[in-house]
Amino acid sequence: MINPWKQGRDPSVPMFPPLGAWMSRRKLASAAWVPPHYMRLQLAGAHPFWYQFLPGNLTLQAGETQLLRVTISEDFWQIATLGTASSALAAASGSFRLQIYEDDGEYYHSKYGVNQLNGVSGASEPGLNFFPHFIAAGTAVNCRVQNLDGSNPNTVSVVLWGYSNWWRGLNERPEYGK
Amino acid sequence: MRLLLIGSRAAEIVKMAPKVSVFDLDDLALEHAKRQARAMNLASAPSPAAALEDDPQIVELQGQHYIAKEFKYVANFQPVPLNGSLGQNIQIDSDADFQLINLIGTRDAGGAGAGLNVQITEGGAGGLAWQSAAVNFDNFFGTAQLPFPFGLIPQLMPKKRVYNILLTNTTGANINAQIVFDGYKLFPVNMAAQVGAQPTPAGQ
Repeated sequence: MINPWKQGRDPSVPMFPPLGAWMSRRKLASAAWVPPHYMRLQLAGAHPFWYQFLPGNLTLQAGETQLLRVTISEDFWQIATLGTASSALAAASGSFRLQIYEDDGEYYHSKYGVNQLNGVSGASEPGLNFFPHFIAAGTAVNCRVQNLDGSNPNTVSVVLWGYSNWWRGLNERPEYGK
Repeated sequence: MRLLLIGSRAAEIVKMAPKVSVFDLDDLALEHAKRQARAMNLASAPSPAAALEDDPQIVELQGQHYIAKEFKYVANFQPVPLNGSLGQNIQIDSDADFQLINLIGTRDAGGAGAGLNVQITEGGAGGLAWQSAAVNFDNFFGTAQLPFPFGLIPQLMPKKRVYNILLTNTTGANINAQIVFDGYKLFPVNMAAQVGAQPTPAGQ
């Protein structure tokens, strides 16, 4: 009988269901892919956190481009970029384009602007980075968004989701109920 | 003659060799896992942890073994008023810590786009936040079929802790929503029988 918890299991990888979520599609007879152990150790004790680019839920006029920004307050390991839009534009590209860069151009997440459907996902089946992307505390992260709908306004929201160092050790403190 | 004998012997060996396919990998992995060295502090008689080693209900955290029982904490928002906010609390039960795995939620269609936003704080209203600013509902919660994998790295929610969920409705109509914290209650492994995790012995 196939034991799904043991199938193709690497004994050095602890059994834990959501690790399999790192690969949104996995083959039947292969172990789920997860980032290397040393990399996952860096996330130990960190807490999931959403960094919302501000202004949140920004309404872009037809064809308009705007700049969103968020400052990372604690060391942060980005796992996914999430985004939503209100436009009903039926385009293969999605209804907006974005480009994320850190520290006023010091590091760009993409060479050019990325279409919505290639760059962001919703919370349902988010596209997860193969490796967490580290962003140091104090980093200002910018997101330039362009409304691809040339006829209608579009309310856009972009979020960085990952693990924040802010929480390390807090759960062990008695004032937080432990 | 000797060549004929070697050839026939080879044919016999091929017939006798087990046919191994990729679907035998799970059995091979299981056998390999069983041969792994056990912790030296285990007594010669199998401990409950060792006896349940092959049980997928067992999870190991910080050197302790727990029985993981699937559970969902639910918060209903019926409704979030138009152009207003509604807060609900989820308090972890006192019987077990909770391991949050997935975030799942449903909302009325009117909450699409920028209509419904979420903020979650820990330890009651005004406590430590899970986000830097209010986040769109669809960037926070998935569905039962495609849940948001919050628990990629284990996140322990201690017993009795309170989590405040604030939904803000920016539309001109009431919005109904339900939020689910999907995960596992963690019971000490010696409570296996009490929580219904003890397999019935063979023959009974």
